[in-house]
Amino acid sequence: MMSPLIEPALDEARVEAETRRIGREIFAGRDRLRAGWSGLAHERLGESIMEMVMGDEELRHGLLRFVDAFPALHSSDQIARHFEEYLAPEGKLSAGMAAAFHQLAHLLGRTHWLSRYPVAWSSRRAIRLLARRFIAGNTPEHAAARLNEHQQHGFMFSVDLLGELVVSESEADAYQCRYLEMIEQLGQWVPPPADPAGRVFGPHINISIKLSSLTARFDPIDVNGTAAAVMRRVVPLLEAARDNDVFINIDMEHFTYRDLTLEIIRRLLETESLRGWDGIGMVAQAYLRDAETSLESMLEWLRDHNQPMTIRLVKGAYWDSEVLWASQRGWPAPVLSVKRHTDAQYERMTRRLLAEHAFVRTAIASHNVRSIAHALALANEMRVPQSQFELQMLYGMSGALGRALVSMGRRVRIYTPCGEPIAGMAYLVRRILENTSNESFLRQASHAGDEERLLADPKETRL
Amino acid sequence: MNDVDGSQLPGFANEPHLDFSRAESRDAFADALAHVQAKLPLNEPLVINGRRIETSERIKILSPSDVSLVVGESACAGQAETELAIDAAEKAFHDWAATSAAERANLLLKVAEITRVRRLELAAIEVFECAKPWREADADICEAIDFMEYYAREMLRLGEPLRLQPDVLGEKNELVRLPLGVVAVIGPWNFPLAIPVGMMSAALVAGNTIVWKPARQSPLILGEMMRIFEEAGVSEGVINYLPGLGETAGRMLVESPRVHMIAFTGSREVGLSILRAAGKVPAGQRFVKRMVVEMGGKNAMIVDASADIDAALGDILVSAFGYSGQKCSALSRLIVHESIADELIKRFRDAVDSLKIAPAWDPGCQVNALIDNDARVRVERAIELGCRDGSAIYIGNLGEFENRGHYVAPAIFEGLPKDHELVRQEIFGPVVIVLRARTFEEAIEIANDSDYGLTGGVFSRTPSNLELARREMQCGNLYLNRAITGAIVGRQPFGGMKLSGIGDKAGGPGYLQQFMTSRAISENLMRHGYAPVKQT
Ligand SMILES: Cc1cc2nc3c(=O)[nH]c(=O)nc-3n(C[C@H](O)[C@H](O)[C@H](O)COP(=O)(O)OP(=O)(O)OC[C@H]3O[C@@H](n4cnc5c(N)ncnc54)[C@H](O)[C@@H]3O)c2cc1C
Repeated sequence: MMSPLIEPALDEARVEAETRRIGREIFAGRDRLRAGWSGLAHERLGESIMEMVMGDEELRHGLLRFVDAFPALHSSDQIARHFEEYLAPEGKLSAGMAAAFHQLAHLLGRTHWLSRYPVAWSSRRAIRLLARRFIAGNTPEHAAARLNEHQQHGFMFSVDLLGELVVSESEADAYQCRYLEMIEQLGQWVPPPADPAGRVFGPHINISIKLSSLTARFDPIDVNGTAAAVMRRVVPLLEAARDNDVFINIDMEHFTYRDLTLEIIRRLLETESLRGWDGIGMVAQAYLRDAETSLESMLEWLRDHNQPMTIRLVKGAYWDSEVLWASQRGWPAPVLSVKRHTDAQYERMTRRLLAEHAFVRTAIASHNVRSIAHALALANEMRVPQSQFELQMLYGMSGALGRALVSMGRRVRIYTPCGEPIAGMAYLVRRILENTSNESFLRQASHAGDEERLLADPKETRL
Repeated sequence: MNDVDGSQLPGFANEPHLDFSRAESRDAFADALAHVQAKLPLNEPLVINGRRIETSERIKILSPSDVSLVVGESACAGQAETELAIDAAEKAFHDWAATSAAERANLLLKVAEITRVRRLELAAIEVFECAKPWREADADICEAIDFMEYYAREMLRLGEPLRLQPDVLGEKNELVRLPLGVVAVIGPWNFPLAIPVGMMSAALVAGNTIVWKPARQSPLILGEMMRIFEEAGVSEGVINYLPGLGETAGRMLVESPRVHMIAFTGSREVGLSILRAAGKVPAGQRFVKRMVVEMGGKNAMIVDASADIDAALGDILVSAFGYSGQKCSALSRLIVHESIADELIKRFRDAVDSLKIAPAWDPGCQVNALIDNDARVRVERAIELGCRDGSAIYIGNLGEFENRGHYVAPAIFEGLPKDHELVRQEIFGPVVIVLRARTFEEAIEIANDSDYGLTGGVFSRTPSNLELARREMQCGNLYLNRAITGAIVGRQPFGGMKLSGIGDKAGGPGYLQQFMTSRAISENLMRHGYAPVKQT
């Protein structure tokens, strides 16, 4: 029986000072790497498109909708028509848009923006590049080259399969097959890294799955029915993962799915055939109002069941939709409404997780230098063993920051989605939304300067 | 009774549905089901002039989900009881009409409050009586509460005399609104609380007195609701609860020279016969009857080439199979752009095959039993016709539910001629007809080629096509990129055009006035050339 750790008293001032010091070091490393690196074509293009739409709400809105509709458009005529309707309504461009086009045209080496076929050609190309920035390939096999590259650069990875919404049992079966295939074959495409630093602990193949894709009816109103349907498909997946030495992380989705997802995870951990295996991970979302209570009860359960666990700590990817849905239903929003409250709760949860390092492996999944530096400072202070702690970032969002952390000797895992463009569009829209949001750390930190403000303690910052 | 102060009343807000992702909600709902089940069978006598009256004829309610479960029975009004109910309403009218708008609004708000407290129990009754699945039952109670809260506020607005414009010195012109008299409210069983309570509370708050006839299939839930009105203090005779049959009590109410208005929601056949019957003016009747009649639809959803198919599929399932398609707003014709038809139909078919048929009390129920055996026979016949004259994309299988209740498994057809009965007539069951269109314009033409015009929907990501739909779609409620069922009071006032009905939209700003008449009063304030400057 593992007993709860008595949290040792920490020297708060030192943690804070260390956080700042490490934060500055990360920024410096990032800026150094950036200086010598102009990025790949798609990274540069993605960067410029995102720059363009920031601060122009109309353009941002138009672009998001155009990207969303894009996979359904099959002819050049259709593409051009939708481009005009979304981005140049009534045939005229706003000043901001005109400037944006000029820049984009320049980037793509085209000049006739407003005639039909070049518009279709260029936007097809631009969106493909944008998608490539965040989505590694159409299939895991295609993505394998990227994954091998990650490893060569000292990163670890977790692969995610993007897919259509599952609306039928046969689609859920198809999903299960795709996952099974990936579990059985990814090891052949991506051999383990030659790892001089010994940074990899546990399986090098790491896969992220969403439980809602494993049944047509993922509905919290029917806990037992849903759990049974999901278990029927996920247990064989997990067994195969165990047999192939693959780690499976169960992603967290919208709030309405949270408790059901946690319930299914508990049932999985109690499944006879999986007992004693520690290759399953879960996610905690810090932007939820009740995030700490929920985490606490899960930790208690894990402790009671003597169950080691990997927990990925994120802020949460669905902030906009959670707020909209709740307001449409007249429900209180499940998420915090002030960004720095999320950041502060993230830090409290980081501390809570690291304190349990005897049986919890913590993954700090964030691109926020303050959040990362704080976790690193705490991990040092609390003497968390290397094996019990890693950093995680999203493919296409880590950039120089990720490389800087690797060069500092940190373990960094890249969450790498792959999938067809249609299926990937929802994911892509979420990423663009996040990267162009006012609240986004990456956006605020995209230019040098201002580092001290960005490293400030969120519980003290007054905006 | 304390009058409400309109200026103190918070603005209208919809009653939030239960969040079933929370264990507390699920547990509370399951408890309510157990609690109601322990009280079965229920018994509801008539309530006329505040007195409870039993009749020898009975209406028996067996649960549609499992006919071996007796939910209860109600009395069944004959000719004599119907006359008594009209007498009582007529007698009560004078005093009730004389109350202030605020007093009546206050009553409604009080009823809404009690309903809110007892919403789980009311929802549980619907689960047993009408085979409403959990979410649908909960939503029905919330909608009933919304109607009361909404019409109470509307009455406070309309209760103030309207100062007529332009204002002229020496003359005072205003419009005051007056109730009509006795209103017969004849409700459907498919939204067993929301629709009858909506119609009735509008009539009531406007100052009319009411004979309230529930559908034969769902008297029990309204019996419970009647007690809530009594508990809130409604005076005797103002509402008379009169379960009975359409052919006897219903017909008498419609034909009575003492009933001023009929508010009806139900089938087109009955609706049109009511309009005809009510058009006659027997000797002694000194008014033309008012009528609000909602009669269903043959609702179309268009899926354009640019649609988000993932999103569309989810909403198609909800629109077509929610409450097994027994909604006047339900999706019945799915019109698909040729270029995506094969893919969409395949995914749709598989999705329908994955729906769970179950008793309504099972929280996993997605396809519930139909309301009664007549409905089952009618829908089964429609499915046979579809198999005979069209090609079946999907015919579901009932499995273990074959003989337990009035279940019918979902079916999807295509290839039917455009004037085929299944393409034209309301089916009111889990049956969808797929039609293919070569262009978006053609899709709109097909959608509009119907006698009905209730709800309609479009899934498209082409702004100009959405614009075209806004201009051209012939339906009272148009939904873009979302489900076509689930109208919400205030946000989506509900009601159709063409043969879907007459009357202004329920839950909208024009509804309440239909239950009132008005008097324009003009007073000359001038005396020997002098008139006060401030005219009050
Ligand atoms: C490896 C990895 C795996 C992930 N897996 C998941 C997952 O399974 N489930 C999931 O939901 N997310 C997941 N995410 C996404 C994550 O939740 C964040 O959306 C993303 O990482 C951005 O957060 P940040 O700390 O990097 O950046 P920051 O810029 O520091 O934070 C942005 C975040 O703050 C929050 N926020 C924004 N505005 C407000 C506001 N007004 N009030 C309160 N909070 C606000 C939102 O969560 C937003 O995403 C994952 C991220 C990574 C890196």
